[in-house]
Amino acid sequence: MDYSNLRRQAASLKKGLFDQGHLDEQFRQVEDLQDEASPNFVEEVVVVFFKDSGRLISNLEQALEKYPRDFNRWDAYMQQLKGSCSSIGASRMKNECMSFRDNCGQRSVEGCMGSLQKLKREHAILRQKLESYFQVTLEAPPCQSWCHDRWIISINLLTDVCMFTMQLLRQVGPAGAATRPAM
Amino acid sequence: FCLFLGVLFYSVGRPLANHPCIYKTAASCCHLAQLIKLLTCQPNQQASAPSIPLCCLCPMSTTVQEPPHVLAVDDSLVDRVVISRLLRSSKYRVTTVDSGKKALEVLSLGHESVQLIITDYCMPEMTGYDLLKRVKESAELRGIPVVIMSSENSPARIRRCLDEGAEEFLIKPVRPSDVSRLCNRAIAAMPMR
Repeated sequence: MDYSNLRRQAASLKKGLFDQGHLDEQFRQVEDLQDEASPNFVEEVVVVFFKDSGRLISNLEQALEKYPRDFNRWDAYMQQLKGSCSSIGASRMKNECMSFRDNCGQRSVEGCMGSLQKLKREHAILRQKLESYFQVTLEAPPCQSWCHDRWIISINLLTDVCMFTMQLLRQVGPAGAATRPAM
Repeated sequence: FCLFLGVLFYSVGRPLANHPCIYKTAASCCHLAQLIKLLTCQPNQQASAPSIPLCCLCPMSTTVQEPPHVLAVDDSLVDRVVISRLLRSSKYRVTTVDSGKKALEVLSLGHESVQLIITDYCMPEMTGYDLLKRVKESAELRGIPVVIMSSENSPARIRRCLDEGAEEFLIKPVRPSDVSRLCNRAIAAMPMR
């Protein structure tokens, strides 16, 4: 399997997500939290995000129907969604959330509806792009910099062995020679 | 000898592997320094085997002890996942709850174990500010530092929280460096309870 090709593809997909403004610097902050202890953290957070944002969008749509012109309520729902988008670095979605909230402030129902449609579109696009990205990264696991950790552990192990051996030799050496039975 | 190597690896290597990476190198240097000391000193000066430091430069501790316990309060599931991972990667124990009410329940069950509360401001029913007030009004809880997080950069809100006794006010999205810096500072400044 040509992992280098797949890694290049993954890197290209990710670069596209940033260049096209779908993701921002906060996504990199989330990526930095991934390590050997949590090797799939980014994907887990993304899955949680799409589940949660799907629920929030659905709640908002119900509120738009059930509570007409209740801009304060609509704004409260959107504030939650904007917070999630912001935490994960979903930049375009966050912008649409802010646009919706601006329309709430201007008490424009058409504006709110328009923003919501754009938000749903961005939600679907980001989901599809991230799914493609994770599919490729799953097939091509990243080069793990395990060498550094193993090197550190090896140094420590070697020094511990040397220390033990030195201690043993110093204690056993002359005394051992004295107690060795004569041949 | 192989059994000995295995025991050494598990007793020394694994804890070291779990330490923050910048301290692993420092710990290795400590090991090497200890070895050099052993090699260069005379046998009769050798009082006892040098102790193998688990982490001699780690600010948290040189002995094995419980890491600080942080209570994270946020109604957003995504934020709870991120803040939880962020705190765990800085070697804190974390309990997450989704409301101020649940935070007070956790605190009533075992407030002695909680060394820091980090809470979102905007939450339904009980805001982070309300939680802060309840904590600072309680004789048992007021010693616990509280950090507030909010996506709204409102000077009035910030002022209000700091006046009420919040340790710090963070603007969301929070950065890992901000959280670990503040947690270290807040916990270090905490009076002995």
